[in-house]
Amino acid sequence: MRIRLLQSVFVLLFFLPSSPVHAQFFTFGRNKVQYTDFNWHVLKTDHFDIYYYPEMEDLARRGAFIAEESYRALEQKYNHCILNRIPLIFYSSHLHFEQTNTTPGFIPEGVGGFFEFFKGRVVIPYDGSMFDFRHVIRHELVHVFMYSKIGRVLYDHRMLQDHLPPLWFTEGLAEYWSETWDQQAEMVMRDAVVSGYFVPLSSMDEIAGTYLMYKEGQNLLRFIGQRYGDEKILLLMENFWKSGTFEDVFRMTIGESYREFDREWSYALKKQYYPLLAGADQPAAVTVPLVTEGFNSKPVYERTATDTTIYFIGNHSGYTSIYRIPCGRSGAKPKVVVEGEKTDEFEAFHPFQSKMSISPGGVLAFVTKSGENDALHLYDTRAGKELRTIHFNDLVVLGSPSWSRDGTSIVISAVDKSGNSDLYIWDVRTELLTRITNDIYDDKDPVWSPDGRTIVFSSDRTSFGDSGAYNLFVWDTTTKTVRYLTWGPETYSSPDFSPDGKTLAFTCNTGGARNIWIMSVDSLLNPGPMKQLTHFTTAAFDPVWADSGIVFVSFENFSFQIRSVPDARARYDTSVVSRQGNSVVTGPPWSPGKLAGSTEISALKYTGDYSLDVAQSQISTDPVFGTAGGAFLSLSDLLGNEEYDFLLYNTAQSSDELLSSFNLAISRVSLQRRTNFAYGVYRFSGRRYDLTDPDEFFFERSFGGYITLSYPLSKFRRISILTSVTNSEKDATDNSLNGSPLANFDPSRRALFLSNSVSFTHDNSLWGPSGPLDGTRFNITLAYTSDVKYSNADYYSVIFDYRQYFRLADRSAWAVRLWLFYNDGKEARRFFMGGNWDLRGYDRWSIRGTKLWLISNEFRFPFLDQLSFRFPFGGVTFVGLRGALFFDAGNAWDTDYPGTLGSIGGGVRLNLFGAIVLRDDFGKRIEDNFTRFQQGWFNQFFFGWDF
Amino acid sequence: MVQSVFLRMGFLMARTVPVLILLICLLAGGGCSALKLTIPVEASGGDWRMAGGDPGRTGYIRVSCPPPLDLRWSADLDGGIGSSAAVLADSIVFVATLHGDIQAFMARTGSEAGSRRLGTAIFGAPVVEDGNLYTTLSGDQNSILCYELRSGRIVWKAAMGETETAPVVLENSIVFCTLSGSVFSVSKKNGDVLWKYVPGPENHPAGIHSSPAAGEGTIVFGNDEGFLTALDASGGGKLWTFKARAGIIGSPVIAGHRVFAGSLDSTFYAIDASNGSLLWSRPLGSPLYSSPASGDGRVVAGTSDGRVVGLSAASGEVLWSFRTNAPVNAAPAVADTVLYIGSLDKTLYALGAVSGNLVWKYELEGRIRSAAAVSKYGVFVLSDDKKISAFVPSEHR
Repeated sequence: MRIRLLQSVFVLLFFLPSSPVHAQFFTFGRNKVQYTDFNWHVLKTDHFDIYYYPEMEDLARRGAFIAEESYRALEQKYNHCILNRIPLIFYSSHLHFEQTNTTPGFIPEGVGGFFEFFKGRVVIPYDGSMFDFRHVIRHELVHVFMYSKIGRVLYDHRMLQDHLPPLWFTEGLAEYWSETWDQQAEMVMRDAVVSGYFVPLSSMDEIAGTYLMYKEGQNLLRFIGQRYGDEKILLLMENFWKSGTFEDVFRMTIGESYREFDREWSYALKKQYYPLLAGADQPAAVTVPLVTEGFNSKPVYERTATDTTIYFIGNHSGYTSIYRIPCGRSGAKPKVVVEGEKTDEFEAFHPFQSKMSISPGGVLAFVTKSGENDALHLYDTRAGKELRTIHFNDLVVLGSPSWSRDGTSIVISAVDKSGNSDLYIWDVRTELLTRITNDIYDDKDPVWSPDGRTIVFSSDRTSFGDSGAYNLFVWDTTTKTVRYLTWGPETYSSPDFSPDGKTLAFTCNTGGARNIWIMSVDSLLNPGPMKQLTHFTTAAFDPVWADSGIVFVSFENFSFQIRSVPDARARYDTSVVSRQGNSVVTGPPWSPGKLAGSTEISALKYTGDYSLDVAQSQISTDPVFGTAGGAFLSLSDLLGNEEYDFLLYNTAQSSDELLSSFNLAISRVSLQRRTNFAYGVYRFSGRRYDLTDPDEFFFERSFGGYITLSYPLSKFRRISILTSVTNSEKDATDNSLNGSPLANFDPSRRALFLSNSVSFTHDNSLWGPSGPLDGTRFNITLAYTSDVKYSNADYYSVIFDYRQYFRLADRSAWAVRLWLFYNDGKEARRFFMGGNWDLRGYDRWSIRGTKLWLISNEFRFPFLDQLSFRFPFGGVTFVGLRGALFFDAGNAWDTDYPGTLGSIGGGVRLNLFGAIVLRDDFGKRIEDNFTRFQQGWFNQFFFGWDF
Repeated sequence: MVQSVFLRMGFLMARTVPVLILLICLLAGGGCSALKLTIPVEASGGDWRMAGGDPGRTGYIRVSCPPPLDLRWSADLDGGIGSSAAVLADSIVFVATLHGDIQAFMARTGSEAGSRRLGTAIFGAPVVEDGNLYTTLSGDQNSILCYELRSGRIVWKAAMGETETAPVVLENSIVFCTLSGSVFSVSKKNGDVLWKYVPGPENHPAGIHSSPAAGEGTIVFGNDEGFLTALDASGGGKLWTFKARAGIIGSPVIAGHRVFAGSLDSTFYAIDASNGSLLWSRPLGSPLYSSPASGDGRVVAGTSDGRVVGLSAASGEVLWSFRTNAPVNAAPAVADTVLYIGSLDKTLYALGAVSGNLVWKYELEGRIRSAAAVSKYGVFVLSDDKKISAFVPSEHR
């Protein structure tokens, strides 16, 4: 939202004086909605300013304790200290975090926090787990220390502080120094080595930014640490000044080139992981595949009188949705049941966190983000329709609903505004919500026992919670007490009762890999022995009973697949006991530390702490407009909620023009609340070249003000309004007097413009490398502009812009665009088109008129996935070349329609580093009112994303 | 019209000529900076002529410089500071920077006595003796050079490999360690190699970030693998080695027939200088990057968890401990009964050498990573905001 609003403001600043309504510049894009009005406070500790809101004060104090503890540890690791206070911004949930204005972009669910080094801010959400909270805080502080340390090294050697070590090093170290080698790291590395997709250091660029890179980087630095000591890692940073390439720094410090190091590292990994195959298997070798394409998670099983079906959360098209497949039919194509991420109601699933549950009556319970908070949805699978959507006001994040066997209640885990992750029971009939746990421990994956008397769940309320372990616990509905079901330093999760209620399947990571285990639970007070059902090299998740078999999610070859063990019950009956039950063993839960109120701490209400974002001054010379100089300043507060922009420049060509040629604009942009607004005043003066009237130069002096508001209805829809008042004095310049464009001022028009516009925008599109591939984009704008003083202008505008994308395959789509633009009245502005962006085959912006229509059809498809050139001195690789076949038709006119223009052809698009798309189109124009093709071919090269 | 043109040209000239002159001066100044002393430099016993103050790196000096101190002057440096301190000879302070400069300041006034760029980076403190300055170099073709301060010329230079430690001066030779793990002894007169120690596989070659100390006829240094090695100072033969569990980055100290060294394994060691046997070890709870100081039966070390710890040189018993607010990288410098030590918390502390009690402190603008240089002229401290600060005993005590 921030980008979009800022873009609008700057478009307005530069186009308002000459054209108060230029709605064709309005951009699409989704909205970052500020649903929640946070009341920010600041907790000051020895080294941190911690920003929090009162609902999460207890969490903030625990975070403060972790931050100070981490600071002390990293101070020693780095042999370095940070001189400035570190701003640490906490959110009590990921949904709140997604609203942050400290970064303009959208934050995916997988982002656990970030360090923004421009203002030195660390922004971290709490996800219910204190262990994860500590991990993320320390991870981001590793970045803070590294940034400071590298900066100090470069500063010492009088070098520009303009580069950092490669991402595998920065993120790998952040992982290595923030946590122990955990099960996820082990899972990924085992799989990478055993499945054969391990990427050596010399090719690490190929996986830059991926989760695999994080874990390989972590493993690599762990390897260095074990072999040479962590001081070698520190030395890599101390030696950073010695070369512009990190590979040289690595060679100087470690004494080996990347390739030499790779030999040893990969050999050590093989030696470590290959022997695993003697006692364990890859899931694909010993289980039955059900869904192997795309990303898949959280299966649930339903048996009706006639069918057996598996529902699961998957992403097979770019949008995460709920799918179903018939159980037992390997290779069946999944069908979409609930399409996600396109509508306000199903804005986003939590495919890693939240399981689903299906009632005996066939009602599927699942959660999605829906507006400010998560919502619980009840979906009738037999009727194929949604029954209810339930919002719980005080609960922000929901997870893993589980039906009671009688279908009268649902137990669900939820994170409230304080950040606590607890269990709740929702009575479907009375709609009464009852909280059954209430503490700082992370309670998740609850499941009703078939007799309805107990709830089994996974929690870190164990003695081993400090190291990230979760045990299974039982909540007794009668005594309303919690007791251990498992006991140990491992992580037990995703419990699921067998249909007869006699056994419980769950996962446990004993031995380093998360596998499926089964426990006899004839009596939960005295559970039977545990038996290990699977012996995978990698991992299994979310086991659910499917009659006598188990359906689960496997991780293998870096993909999450749905698989089954059809004879799970029989295997359990015949396998040997792996471990005895643990119910008699108990221990006190761990107690996370909290920074107590010491004299060093003070909690203050947040007041805007502004600092510079951008300061730029420039002198430029243009053959037409001459020399101009100016400066731009932008200030924003630490939370990014308020921004002030100042623009000052001068276009004087001689000393007597100096005063009259000052251009000044001041804007305030507010993103703090749901309704974003901006207002400002400006004074512009100088020669202009009107793109809509190419033969006209003019000199214009104008001043005025504007206010614009934007209200997001949801992530996908918004309404924006703009009002501006501009006093304009426009002098046409006769360009036939070459050499002296100022020589012939003819005061031709004075006006006091009052302009109002309102627009509605919808965008749920999904993008590929060169542009959208799925979804819809739509904008309609109505505007009225009049000269309220001199009556020199009086016109209205209607803009209609509709774009629809039909997915044909994973990476190909058919895109359609329809433009209808209409300006009418006195001094109505012309629209323009032509060129690669709209009507292809015609000169850029050569087709002009106050009325315009255009229809574009484009077939987008992958052309080349990789294009590499190898030269004797090195190589360059381009990825993601895309092709297009197009057909355009349209025209623009003032009074008489001149006939339809068109073009047909093809093109190639190349995305350069995600920043810019180069596009080359060739084809034939369709001329003479669509009666003949041009002779020869046109070719147009430009840049820009697909429409 | 013509007049107008001339007027404009005159205006242009008036504005541009000074700029041109300034540019020429800047270019000229940048290209021929000089360190040429017009006064003889005669080092005396009260000078802090090398890292650690003496060849044994004891950090002890018998001058009186009691706190409280006043900041007399401070001056900007051309580059950052390595691990070693400023050195003093006669009344001149010499500073080596990570930008490869040697800068000289008058100790009393802070006025710059000259500067000279000698290489890419200088990590270790130089040694000033007999009118010459000896310094090691890093990231450069040369390893060490001898610079004559009166003439401002490089007398000799030698290329043996990159070095990031301070040299130690003996009667006729200079000894230094290289990053690749070798040790060289070169003639003070002409830079000829007198002996060299290149460890073979059996001698655990590893990088050296620990400046060598000299005493008792031996040269002692630590390496990144945790080996403390003693060489015969006259011939370079290996006398003994001692192994710590992690690297030894700080310089060892040779005092009273003992070698003291801290290790990244968080332990402080006292070794018999004659045979390398362990006399005592003291776990201090956090890695030790700092070089120690030793004298009067005590040894003092800084820890990376921010403590300054006083130990009994005889037994390793902890006599006192003082906590700063950040890691201590700097070596202590003891003037008579006062111990001066800087911390990364930007503060220079004066502690009672016997009690460890805080006597005085002063907060600078940058982190202090290197030892204070103490002399009869005052205490000279380098901070990583690229400044040297000179303190003198307060006149308002």
